[in-house]
Order: sequence, then C-alpha cells, then structure tokens
Amino acid sequence: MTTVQDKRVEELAARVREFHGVELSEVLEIIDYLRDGEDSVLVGGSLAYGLGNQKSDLDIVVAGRATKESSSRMPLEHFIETLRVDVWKLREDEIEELFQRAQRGLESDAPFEGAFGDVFEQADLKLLHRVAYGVIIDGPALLPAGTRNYREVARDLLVREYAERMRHALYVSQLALGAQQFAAAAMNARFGVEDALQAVIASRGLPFSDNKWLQVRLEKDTPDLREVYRPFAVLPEGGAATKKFVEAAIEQVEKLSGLRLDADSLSSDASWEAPDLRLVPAGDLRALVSPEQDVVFELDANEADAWKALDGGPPWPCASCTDIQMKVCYRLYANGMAKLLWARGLPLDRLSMKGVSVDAER
Amino acid sequence: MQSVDLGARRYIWCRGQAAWLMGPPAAQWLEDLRGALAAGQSGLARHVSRQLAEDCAVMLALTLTYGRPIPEPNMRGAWALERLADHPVGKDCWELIRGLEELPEDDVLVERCAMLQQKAREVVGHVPDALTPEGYYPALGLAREWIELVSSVGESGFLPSEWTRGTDA
Repeated sequence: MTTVQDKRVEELAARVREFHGVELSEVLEIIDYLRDGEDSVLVGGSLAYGLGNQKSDLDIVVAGRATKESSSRMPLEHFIETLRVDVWKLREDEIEELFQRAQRGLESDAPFEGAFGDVFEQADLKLLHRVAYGVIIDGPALLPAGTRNYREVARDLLVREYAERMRHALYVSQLALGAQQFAAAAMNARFGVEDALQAVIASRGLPFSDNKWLQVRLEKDTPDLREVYRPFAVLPEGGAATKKFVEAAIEQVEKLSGLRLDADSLSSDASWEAPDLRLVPAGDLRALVSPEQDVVFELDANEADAWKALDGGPPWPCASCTDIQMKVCYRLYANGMAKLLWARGLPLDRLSMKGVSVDAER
Repeated sequence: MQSVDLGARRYIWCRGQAAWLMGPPAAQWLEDLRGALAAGQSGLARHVSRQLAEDCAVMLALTLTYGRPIPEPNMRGAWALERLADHPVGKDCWELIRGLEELPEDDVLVERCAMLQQKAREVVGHVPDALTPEGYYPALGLAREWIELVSSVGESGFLPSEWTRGTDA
C-alpha cells in the first residue's frame, strides 16, 4: 500500500528528475558526509511543495537525535548537474528551541517585527516550514518533544506573521495616499492584499512558499482566491485611481481578515520612532541631522515647530500626532529615517482567517 | 584619475549596497524569469519581472542619486522611482513594477528585463552570482574585498544580518 509519505517522495523524485535529470539517491550520496547516525533528511522549498521549475533548487534539512554539530545559518551549497542543493544541518534541540520560541511568540501579545527572519531572508519561517512540512527522503520522522504539533505551530506562525505585515502595509498605504505619494500608496495596498492572501493560504495548512510563488499557488491550490487578487495585480496611475485602489484593497482585506483596517482604527496601536535625528537650527536653516547616517533634512518653520512639539519619546504614538507631525514622520519613514512600530501584535484570536486546515496531510 | 565629488563614506556605502544587497537578487530574478517562462508559470513571470525592475530601480537610485539610507522593503520601490523620476530608465522600471496587463511574448519579456539588468550593471558593476557553481568562489573573493573597502571608511558591512549572525561578538 502506498502511504502519503511514499507518494510525496515519488512526486518529489519525479520533479527533480524532470527538471534536472538527477535522482534523489544522488542527492543523498552527495550530502551523506553531513549525516550523523540515522539523521533524517528532509526536503522543503518549492519542489517539495508541488511548485518549482527547472531553475528551482533543493532545500534540505539534516537533523536527528544523533546530530552532533549544526551548520551555520548560511546553507552549505552543493551542485549536481544543474541542481543546487542547499543544506542546513541542525541538532534536534535547536529545532525544538525554534519551535518553542515560535510557540512563545504566538502566545505573546507583542508584535513579531522580524523576530522570525527579515522580509528577504525569512530564515526561521522557512526553516520551521521545512521541518513541519518537508518531505522525508531518508530516516525517521522528526517528532516534537516539547511543543504541540509542528505543523500547527508553523501554520499559526505564518498566519500571524503575514497578518501583521498586511496591517503594516495597509496603514502605510493610507499614509502615503495622504502625502500624495501615489506609487507608495498603490504598492503598499497591493502588498497588503498579497500578505492577506498569504495568511489565508497558510491558515488552510499549505506550507510556506514565499511571495514569488503566490500567483502560481492561487492558480493551482486555491483557485477560490484567484479572483480576489486579480483587481490588485496591476497598479493604477494617478491620484483618483490610486485612492479607489487603496479603498478597494482595505475593503477586501477587511473581508479576508475580519479586522478594521482604516487609518483611524490602526493609529491607536502605531507609533513613530526616529532616535538618530535631532533638530539643529542655525539662523534660517532648520537642519534635522543624523550624524550616524550622514543625512540631513531641511525643515520649514512649521515643520520645525511640529518636530519640537513631539512629546518626550520617541516613540511618538500616531494617535497623538498632529497632521503636520504625521506628515513629517511619514516623510522620514519614506526616506528610511523613521520606523513605524506597533504596540501590539495580531494574536490569532483577533483574526477570522485562523486555523482552517483543509489538507493537513499535504 | 577621476575624483569623486561626494563624501567617501556615502559613495562607498551606496555603491556597496547597490552591488551586494541588490545585485545578486537581480541576477537571480532573470534566471527565475527564464525558468518561469519555460514552465508556463505566468504568475511567477509577472512577479519576477516586477521584482527585477524594483531591484534595478533601487540599484540605480543608489548609484545615480546616492540616496541614503534605504527605506524598509515595502517602501524601496517607491523611494527609488521618486529618485529616478527624471531618468529615462525610471519609466521602464515603473512599467514592470506596476504589473503587466498582458504578458508579452516570452523572448520580448526576457529581453526587456535583461536590458534593465544590463543598464543597472553598467552603473553598478558586475557581481558574480554566488548561487551558481562558476560564480560561488569569485563572489566570495569579491565580497571579501568589498568588506575591506567599506571598513576602511568606517562603515559596517552590507551582508544580510542573517548571514553574519553570531560573528559580531
């Protein structure tokens, strides 16, 4: 009888053979030197999740009870024909610690803010999903010792991560619209929709594949969401069209998430931080200076007064800022000199997209 | 000899960021685009062409206008486009970042993206692709030289923090 696991290995093997002319046995052979005892070999990434193409690599985790040494955060690269094989070697206690940290993050009200990898690398998010959803091509299954089911933790973490990104993007979109920065407004509105869709897809129990696979996944795995995305795939041009676009994005994401996402609702949790900057007036020149970044901004008299009037801090709560203070802070943020922070994260019980697993065996 | 009429810190920081933060991904996007088109994955092709244009826009903004610092990822595209508003390549970048209503023929799209990448490379310089067998060691060697250069003007490195975690102590 063929098990789900056998079927997944067969499908993976077929994809690797089709795209690269390489057998999984060759992969096992080339990474064999990394295995201690009966270390398991798990394959994650696009090829393991039914995505990928001839340019896709193979992401492998080597881990087990006997694993002695872990590798660095950077993968160990191997090449077989056209196939790149990236390997991370991890001790079991490190995997356990990562899942426990994820579990603690989920139980906390604090925002994630990159705690599980920055937007580019997303290292911990990917690693959690490789362990939870990876295809075991050799060795025993990895079982959690100190946390609940690996897949539940990995799924919930991803839902929350993307929900928090979604909130951030849609708030920025509205601030950009107010500042008449239409490209930034439209781009962030689209990010907000994409992040919301990623959160919904994750809530259905599908493993993590980063944003580049989103549209393929909408076509292939979640066709009911395909039409949700279509109106946001191409950005509008001009102020009036961008305003409509942003409003439509907010409306759509509110439906998907169950959250209120208008700027007034979001501002109570948001604040600005710009610790490097200080105002140094010199005659008519009102210079806002960051020696650390080698950056200076010139403020007009009203902006300088608004800056001086920011209370204490930072951080400065957005809800307490005047219009001109918000505009100054937004411009600094748009130029990389201020951060937008959140007082609270988005625990799953605040989201309506949480925990719907339609295909846990995938 | 050519003098650089800009502070050494800013000049080297901007060039380093353009070459290392944006250069390797832009090279990878073009490969991803070819893979997507060969597999008939139009959604992937759309995303990849958009990302490639955004990375090229950021690289060009860094090296043509020497803007510093770079804003967070969700603001980078808009930041770069604003700085390239008067540059002919800004329009090319915006059209791809905006998203294509209809995908052109495969070779037309590849050519369009390759041309954008080439324009960025002409300004930024070539960085070997560390994700290929032939580029791996040359990229490591070049990275080592760049780390020495940015250190010489008192700047910190440009490698992603997750590459260097644990090495700062």
